[in-house]
Amino acid sequence: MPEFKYLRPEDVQRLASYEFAPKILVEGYLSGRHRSSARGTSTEFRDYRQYADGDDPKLVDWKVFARTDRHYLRTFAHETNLDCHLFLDSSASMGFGAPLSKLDYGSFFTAALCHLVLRSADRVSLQLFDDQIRHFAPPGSTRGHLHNLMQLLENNTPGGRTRLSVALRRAYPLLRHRGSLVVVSDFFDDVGEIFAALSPYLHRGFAIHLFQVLAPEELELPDMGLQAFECLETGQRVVAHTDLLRREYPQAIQTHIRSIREAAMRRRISYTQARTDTPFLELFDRLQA
Amino acid sequence: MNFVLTNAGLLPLAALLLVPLLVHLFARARPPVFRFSSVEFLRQILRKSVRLKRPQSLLVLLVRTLLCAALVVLFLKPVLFRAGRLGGAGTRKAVVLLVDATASMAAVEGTQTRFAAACAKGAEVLSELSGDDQANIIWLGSPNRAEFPRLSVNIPYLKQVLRSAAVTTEASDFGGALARAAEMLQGQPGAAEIYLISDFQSSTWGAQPLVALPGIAVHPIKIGRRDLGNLAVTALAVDPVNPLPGQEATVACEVHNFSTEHSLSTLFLRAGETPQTRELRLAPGQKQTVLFRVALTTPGEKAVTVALSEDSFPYDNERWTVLKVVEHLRVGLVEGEPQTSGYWRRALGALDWVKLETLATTQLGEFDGEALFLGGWTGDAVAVAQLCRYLERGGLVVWSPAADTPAAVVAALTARLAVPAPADPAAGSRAATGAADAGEPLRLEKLPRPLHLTVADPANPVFKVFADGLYGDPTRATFRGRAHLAAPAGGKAILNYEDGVPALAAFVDPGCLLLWNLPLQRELSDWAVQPEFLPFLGELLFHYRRQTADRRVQRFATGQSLTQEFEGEVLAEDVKLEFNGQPLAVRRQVANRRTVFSTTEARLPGLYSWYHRGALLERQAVNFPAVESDLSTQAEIKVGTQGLVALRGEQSIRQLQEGSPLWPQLLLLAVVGVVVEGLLLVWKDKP
Repeated sequence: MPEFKYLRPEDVQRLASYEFAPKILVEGYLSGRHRSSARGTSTEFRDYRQYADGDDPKLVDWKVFARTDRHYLRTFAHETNLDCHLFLDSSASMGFGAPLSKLDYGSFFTAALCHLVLRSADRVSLQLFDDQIRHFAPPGSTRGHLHNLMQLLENNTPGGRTRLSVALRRAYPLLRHRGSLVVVSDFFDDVGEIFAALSPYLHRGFAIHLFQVLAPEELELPDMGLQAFECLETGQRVVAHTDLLRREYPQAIQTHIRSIREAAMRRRISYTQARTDTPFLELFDRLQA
Repeated sequence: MNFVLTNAGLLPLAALLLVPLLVHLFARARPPVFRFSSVEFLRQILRKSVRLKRPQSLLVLLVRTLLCAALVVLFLKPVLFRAGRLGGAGTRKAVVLLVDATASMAAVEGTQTRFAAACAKGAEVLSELSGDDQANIIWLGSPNRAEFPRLSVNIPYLKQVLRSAAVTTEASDFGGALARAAEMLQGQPGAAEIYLISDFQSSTWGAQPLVALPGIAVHPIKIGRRDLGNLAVTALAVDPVNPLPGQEATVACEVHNFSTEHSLSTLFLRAGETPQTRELRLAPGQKQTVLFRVALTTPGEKAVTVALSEDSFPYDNERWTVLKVVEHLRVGLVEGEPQTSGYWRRALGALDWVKLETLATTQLGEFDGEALFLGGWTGDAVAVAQLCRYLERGGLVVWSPAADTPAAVVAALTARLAVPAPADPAAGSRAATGAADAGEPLRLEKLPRPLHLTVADPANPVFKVFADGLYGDPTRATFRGRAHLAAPAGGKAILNYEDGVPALAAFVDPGCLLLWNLPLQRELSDWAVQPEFLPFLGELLFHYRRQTADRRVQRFATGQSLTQEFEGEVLAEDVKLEFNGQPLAVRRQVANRRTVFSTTEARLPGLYSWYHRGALLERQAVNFPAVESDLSTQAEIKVGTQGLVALRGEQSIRQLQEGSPLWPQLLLLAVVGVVVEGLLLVWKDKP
């Protein structure tokens, strides 16, 4: 197996004990190990329902008809394979952090996720975006696809401003099958806009997972005295004394995080906060829990 | 007010005022750049606090600018000149020092007298003058003395004079000194200045404003920092001043406590052989009159000295006067009506303390005795004029008008006016107010029934001796006739007839005229043979005799010139003046057949004795000026239109000359600026 920057052998070795099994069911076009919410042709009984015009008469449960003189269909859970759509924020703000930037951290996590999905014979797609979709890798499940994805991640650099909502809207027509939607970003965008953009995905039954990657310095400003803070995305400068900011800043960032978390909870969207100073593999532990 | 920058060469330092502004601006642009993921949250925070922080920053900038300004100006050494003056640099000056050398300047404060401090201040003023400047010193005293008749450039001599000057015991004539100084400064080139160096006594300066002189800067410099307490003898009087041997005289002594505390002292009286003492306790500011009674038995001039216990200001603890005990009274008698004159002569001759002299009418102008009796005298215009002059000298005239005396003469003499001429009826009627008829003579009237006398003025001391009846009743006589004389205006009746007509009336001031309407003729009264007649006449003479003689001894004050006049030409070696046994130089002047000896000045208080050919001629008392005893000083005085000017004892001459340096205030401002900046920064960083 060739060595990739974001998929190191030791990580692959540790991921061997992980299995990507999202808690919610997603729909796949291939029958696989993942149960679909749609009724299908698997052997696992799911429910009865009254016959309607157009239903396959083979599905009528004649024993029930014999007892009740009504036509009921036996429905079975449809086992399908997973389409996992990965959105990795590649805006300039993701370049923040040292020694490991948020983009690096997100890339490690994304690479590991790709590996897990492909190992389960599921399909994975990848979108790199900032204020637009910079790269889109359609779903695939081959090793060559994984190779491409890794190349994509390695060649990726922080770009322009974060416009997650724009990227989500533009990507929506590209995703033809429902599945898991995993967004890895710092979410430095308008919260209302983000969740407005996610609404169509929810309506289509996507299982959405939000991973907010933040550097420790973003959660708690270090004491640096008077500084000219230069925005990585806009280049704007703000001169301020950290003594003044350190009292207000944690409240501001926590308010932002809380608004994202609450909005996600209201929409039953999974939300996970990741700090770049913690190993990314811990995120999989949280997913399995 | 004017400002001068002493270090004007450092004026470019003013550019440093830009430092805080630049620091403020650069401090905002220079911080290290920290590339951050998003500054949106920071901007939100700053937007909240900028409303409060920006004024704080501006305030800090303002304080820092003020701080820098204070430091910069501090190095420029600004000097403030009051009243538009601009120091003495390059300006020619004409300066007159008015140095107070009066008695109060002898008070000791600390280790030196006020006068020594004043001389030191004067020397400071002179030290600041340059070679082209002119100066003079006028010593405030009585009289004021100038060192030079006009301004002089000989300033070293003036400094030497200040070192050797001595204080006097005199009062001052400040107005005259200021006028003289202004006269000296008139027309002088350059800045004209008067430095008034004084303790500014409250008694002298309390109500006296300092006149602002046009074109002349007057600088009052106060010497003396506090009000000193003092106990002083401020007045001494004797009554009568020329008693007879054995006659009791009253010595009235006024003692004043000028301190703010109670004073306990002893007052000593030395008059004659027996000294007297009196314990005194005076409240703060209290003035008390102490009476002593002395009776001197031997004739001659007697010194009367009162003294207080020693205190810190001893110059006014003693006071002197001279009591002239006369051996007898000189009484002149002008004989007119024989019986009246005869009775008076016999009665006056019986009094052993009376030296009777019979005078002709023509001798009236020369008589200088204590009393003059005119018995049945008619009078004329010349004699009335001479009598008026005698009365003005304080003499006593006892006049029994003759029956043919014109009423106008009576009216003129009682009113101290000249007898009017017949052609001037208006003046005659004015002078003869109250007379029966201005032009008609008096007439003798027979009384329808005998009349006795009544006492018109029971409080009169003449009747004191008759109070216990030992000397009879002076009203017991019986009168069967009297002069028809209406009571002239201005008189005070001593005795009246039973019908209310005045029998004896006194017309006083100046002198005393006793209008005697008590006929002594045997057919008209038995008054002259009554035993009360002699004591009554004696009491009358005793109490109404001339009292004003020799009172001039009490008018001498320190600094005045003492004089002695002689008729004719007197040789210089015949007259001597001594003070405390030491002979003093006297000047001799002969004019109008009179020889006048005088001293230059009597500087010290005490008794001065004149001798003529070795015999004591007269003692003259010179006393400390009472106005100088109050050692309290004024805190401020009124100067012309400038209102009240505070007098500061600590005021430096150099400060007056060179202005007030402002560096202490600027330094204080800078320190306050640092403190305020610190407080502002603490407030600014407070959440």
